[in-house]
Amino acid sequence: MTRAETDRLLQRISHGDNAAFEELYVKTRRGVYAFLYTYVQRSADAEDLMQTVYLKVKTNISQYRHGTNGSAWILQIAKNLALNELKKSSRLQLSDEVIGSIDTFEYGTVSDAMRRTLSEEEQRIITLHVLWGYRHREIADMLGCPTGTVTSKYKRAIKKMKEALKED
Amino acid sequence: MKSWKSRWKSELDGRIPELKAEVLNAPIVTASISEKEKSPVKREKTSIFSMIFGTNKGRAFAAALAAVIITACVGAGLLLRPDSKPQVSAFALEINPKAMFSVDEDGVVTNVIALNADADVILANDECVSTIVGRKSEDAARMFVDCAARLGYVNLAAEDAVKVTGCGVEPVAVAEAVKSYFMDKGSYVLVLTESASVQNFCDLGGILDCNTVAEAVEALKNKAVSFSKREVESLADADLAQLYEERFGDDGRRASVMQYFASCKQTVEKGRQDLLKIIEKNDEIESHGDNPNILFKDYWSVAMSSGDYTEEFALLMSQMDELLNNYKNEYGVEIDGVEHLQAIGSTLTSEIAGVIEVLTEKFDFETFITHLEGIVRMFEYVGKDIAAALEAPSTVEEYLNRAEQFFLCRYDEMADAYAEEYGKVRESISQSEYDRYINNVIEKYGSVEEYWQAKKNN
Repeated sequence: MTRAETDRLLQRISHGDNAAFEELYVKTRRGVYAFLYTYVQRSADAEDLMQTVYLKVKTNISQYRHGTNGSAWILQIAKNLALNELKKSSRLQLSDEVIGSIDTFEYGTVSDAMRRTLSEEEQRIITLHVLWGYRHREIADMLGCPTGTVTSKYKRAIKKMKEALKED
Repeated sequence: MKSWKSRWKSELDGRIPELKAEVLNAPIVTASISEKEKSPVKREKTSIFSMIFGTNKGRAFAAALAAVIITACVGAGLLLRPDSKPQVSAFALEINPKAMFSVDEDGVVTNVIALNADADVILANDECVSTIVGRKSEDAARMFVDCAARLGYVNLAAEDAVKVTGCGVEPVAVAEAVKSYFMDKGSYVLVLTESASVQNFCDLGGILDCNTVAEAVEALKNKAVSFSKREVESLADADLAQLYEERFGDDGRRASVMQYFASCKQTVEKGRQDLLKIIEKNDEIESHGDNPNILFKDYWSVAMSSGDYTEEFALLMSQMDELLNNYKNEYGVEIDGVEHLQAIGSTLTSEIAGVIEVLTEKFDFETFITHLEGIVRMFEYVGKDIAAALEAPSTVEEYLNRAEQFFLCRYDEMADAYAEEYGKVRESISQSEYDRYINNVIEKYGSVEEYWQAKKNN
């Protein structure tokens, strides 16, 4: 989905259009879920947070300025929620029983390869580039590092994943 | 087999739950201020999509092409418009970055190659290539031109010129797409079109042994994207240093060092912290009351002497063993004696640590060179050879890595330098304004070809 389309949907949502909200969900859910996952590293948490992200889109839509970057606005909501969740988890000092329930994806899947071989930052770079269409330069601005670093991390991540998936 | 991206998306679709009813049915909290009272942010004209799909002006101008598109025949074999059956084609785009595009029967770009090092700056970014290949030729051309404009290769604030050369078909549609891009941007840029014979087109792209358009396109499709890569393909290793010096010189060394520094700075900082721990532990050992040595009380001297330790002192020694082993495993550097450690300590406590901190915030090549010796030592302590980044490459692989680093750095620098100008919003240019501009060019230079030559020679 292009930036212009995201902006248009958010503008319609700001007028109370729930159909636009549903359309936004369908078109952004992959990107939001995967982005959340790069922080929380657990499907159950990512799923719960996703619901909250979209609820916040509805409740905070008046804060979105039409003509600015709608994707970035949604991602900022997701990031804030994820970081709050992580802080909460570390404060509660969750027991090993709960922490121990790490996701296990089916071997040979891309999700499994990513979880096994990539760092959280590498997962994030891939998510922002592949699912959100951000350019490396834009990702570098978001992550606060040089563009070259993002490019080389992206390349390295792809290589690691392809080896894990045994692709050419 | 599906690509990993498609598979990943399918996997995500299988995992992501539907929105819960309480979210779906939750009310949308709209603002109390009406839309009329809000002043929407003026959208930056940075999105190529908004330019391609968001304006009707570009499409409207297509009808007024004939008066302003100049076609020159170069060499023998003027290419006629093909019959109704779609054919492969190719075109070259010259701004200053020069690139060549191969196009399939559906008008989709199958490859783009850099024809000079400036085009390498744009195309070194894989993502740039991936946004061009697979697109319709008009869109791909606009993408490339937008990248060039973003880096300041086209001066959007002044009059400029670009050239589109076709092989196989008249590059009318591509030229028109490029022209409408600049008109939407509010920039007076002449778009000169040329129809080249197969031979001349191939000479432009360094393509050998092709007699037909189809052969040229096939050859182009399989060429490496990078101009630098093609340039060194047949070069001996011994000639690489000279070519590197000619092509990149000091700027190349600077980019290479900057990139190396950026990639190592976290390691250097962590290494510094680890070294401080080792120094502290050695101090602890030296000053401990149970140290069995009378004269040389450092860890290495004690370890070499055959004495008995108290339990407490033995613990200190084994902690130091662990620190040193970990350091060796992590950085590949063995600290083999107190003199070595003292040398490290004096570097750590010198101004170099402060200089590295400053360079980490913002890299400055002159500062780096001024403190080169200390910085090289500091990097050596963590197993990094930053001095090598200053030397000329000795293998093709090293040359291409350095070239890539240079291009990526150059991309960032140029994008930063030109960001403000690129981001300025200008009124788009009407067809009549553009016609007036062309007439002025012809009046002043005699022809658009002369204007192009004048721009090229500047």
